Amino acid sequence: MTQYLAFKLGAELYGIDLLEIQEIRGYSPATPLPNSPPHFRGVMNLRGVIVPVVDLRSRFGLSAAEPGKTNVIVVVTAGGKTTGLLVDAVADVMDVASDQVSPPPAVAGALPTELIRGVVRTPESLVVLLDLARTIASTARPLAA
Amino acid sequence: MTIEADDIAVFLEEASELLTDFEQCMLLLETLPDDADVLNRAFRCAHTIKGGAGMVGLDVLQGFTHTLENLLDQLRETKRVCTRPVIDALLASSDVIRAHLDIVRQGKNEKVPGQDEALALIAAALADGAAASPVAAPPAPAPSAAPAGVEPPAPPPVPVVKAADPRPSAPEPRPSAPDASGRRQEEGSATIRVPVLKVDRLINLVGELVIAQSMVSLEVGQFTAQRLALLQDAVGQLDRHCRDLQEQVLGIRMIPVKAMFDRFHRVVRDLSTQTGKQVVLQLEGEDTELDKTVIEKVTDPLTHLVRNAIDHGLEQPDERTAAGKPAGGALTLRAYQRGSSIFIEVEDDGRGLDRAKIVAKAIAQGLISPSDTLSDDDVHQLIFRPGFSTAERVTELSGRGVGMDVVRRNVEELKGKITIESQPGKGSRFRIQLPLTLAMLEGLSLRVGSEVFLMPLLSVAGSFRPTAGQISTIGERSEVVMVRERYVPLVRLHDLLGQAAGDADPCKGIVVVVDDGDRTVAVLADELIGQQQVVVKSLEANFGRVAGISGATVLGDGRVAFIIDVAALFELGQSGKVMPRSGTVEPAAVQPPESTSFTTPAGSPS
Repeated sequence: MTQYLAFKLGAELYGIDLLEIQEIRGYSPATPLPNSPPHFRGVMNLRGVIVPVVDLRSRFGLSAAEPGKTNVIVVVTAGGKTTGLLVDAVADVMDVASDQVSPPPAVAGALPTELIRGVVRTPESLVVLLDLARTIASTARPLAA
Repeated sequence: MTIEADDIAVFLEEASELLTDFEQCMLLLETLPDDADVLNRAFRCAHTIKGGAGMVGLDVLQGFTHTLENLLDQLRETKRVCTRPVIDALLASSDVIRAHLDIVRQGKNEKVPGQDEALALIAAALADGAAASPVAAPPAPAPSAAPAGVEPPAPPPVPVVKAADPRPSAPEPRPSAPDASGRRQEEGSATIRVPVLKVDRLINLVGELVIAQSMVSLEVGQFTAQRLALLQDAVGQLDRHCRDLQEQVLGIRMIPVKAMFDRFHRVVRDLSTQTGKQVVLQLEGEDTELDKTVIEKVTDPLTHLVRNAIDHGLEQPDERTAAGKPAGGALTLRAYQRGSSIFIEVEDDGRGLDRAKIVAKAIAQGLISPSDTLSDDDVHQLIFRPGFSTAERVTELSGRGVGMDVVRRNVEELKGKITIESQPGKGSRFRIQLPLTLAMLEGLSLRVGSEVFLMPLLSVAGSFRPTAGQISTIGERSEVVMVRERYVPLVRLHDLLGQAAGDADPCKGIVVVVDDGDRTVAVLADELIGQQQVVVKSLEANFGRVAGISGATVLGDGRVAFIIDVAALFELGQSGKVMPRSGTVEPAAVQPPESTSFTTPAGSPS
């Protein structure tokens, strides 16, 4: 049994391993980072540590939306790097048994399938479980300088 | 028994220090070959290394040091004079130990090539010395630097480990290293030794801080308008203690340059043997303290400067005598502090930089044209150009693929700069100016678009608001601005930093002149906010390198601001389109308007 945090991007639900989450913060504007890809909101000051903020909507190719008071930043640590993920809202914590997880679908829109660990059906909807380490590794890189 | 990685780190740190001390002893023995005290000290070093290696389970190293210890003991027992071959052999084995420490640092515990040979060398030297009279010992070439080997009769050619330069320039890929961030694995950077005195001071200060904090709480708790002055007082104290604490905490990372300087005895000895030049090394200001990271990173460029000084600067003894100088060349390593900068100088009394030769070479390489008139300073700066070398012959020392351009780049990475003073026939002085610490930065805060950026103050030569007459364009897009009667390339920070273009009219912004001694570039920002000291935060820890940005900091209001990468400015300033300083157009008729005030920031080095 693994615990996942489900969060919302638009109408969709995504899940990340609860153990990889460091904290959840309300949205505050980040300092834009020059010469970086568009899905980077910039960097924020997390108690003296500079942490990049990734706009997951933009990263996954969803329609863009200007973040506001209801948005949250999920701070995660994976692969030794700390990153803030800008999401629409936190939905739920769910217990998922490994036999509930189905392999990722072949087609996932702009979302690369290698970032998906699997999908889970809940009574209400489908939850896409993310491979956090890969998501960050593929994202938290500046464009080739 | 499990051995913690911490224990190994502590051992490595200690062993490195002991080894330096051991080498020191060897060099002392050269001048005082029968000094029992020095020999005892060397013995104790070996003994302690052996003990430490045993405790952390490095049996191979333990075995090697054990044999070394036995030989030293034998040397001690027989009260023999330490001949040159003996010392050479002992130095070779200290190289082996150093190489071994490097291997341990990479998480291995295995034999270092050349370790048996080194032992055989010592044994041979001992046996040899017992038979022959010590006086007859020929001056053998230094084993560490000459991989061909030393000539004692017994062992086969000795592939003595090339450990004279113990720090690998590129880190070995560490298989199981958790941080695959590609950050350079610093030698022994894992631990630092702090004098108890410093720790006590910190504890004291924290005590004061807690008292000040409780005073503030108290005042806030019973606050009335009448008590405002008291509250302000309490906050003022809190302020002061915070600043003191910050200063003291930074001091923890500061270590004297002595340990680094002492290593140069060995470097100089080896080089002097190799080149046949006599060198008298003088160290000054060894107690000057510098950030540990800075010391680690400045060692390589400094070694290069010392090599250069001996190889190119100092003359052969006969040449020196002919010129009326003492046969032994003087080489001085000097460290001192001025304000918030540390200066390290490498000075020799050799032949000085050969202006004619440098100019000829630069013309041959197409760096300058024969018609250029250059000041001495401009000529000296030429040697920092990539690929520039005036070495007539490729020796062991030159031709190692590290040029002065690398030295300058290393220094710039440390936010420092390097300057040269040289007089023909009298000698040269290379001066490296470094910030006290990399943890803090003195910067100018500039507004560019809607964001604030920091420009390292060490690179800033001045700032002014330009007038229309000072700015011209060359070609299509390159802008130049006149600064002190020279035209320098103008870089709009908006372009470099991807900010929306501010005011298109430069005359409403501010021009900051950035200078590294060789290159000058003017940058345009929207507004100069002020000068401030900031704490440097790593951007790479959680992200990566970003073009044009060297780091980040947190401003007083909690927002993040970026620190501008000065090297990137010069690249942008020189990316074609604009001219380097040596080719600067000297304006004939245009004079800068009288009204322009050129302000130099306080504390600026120029």
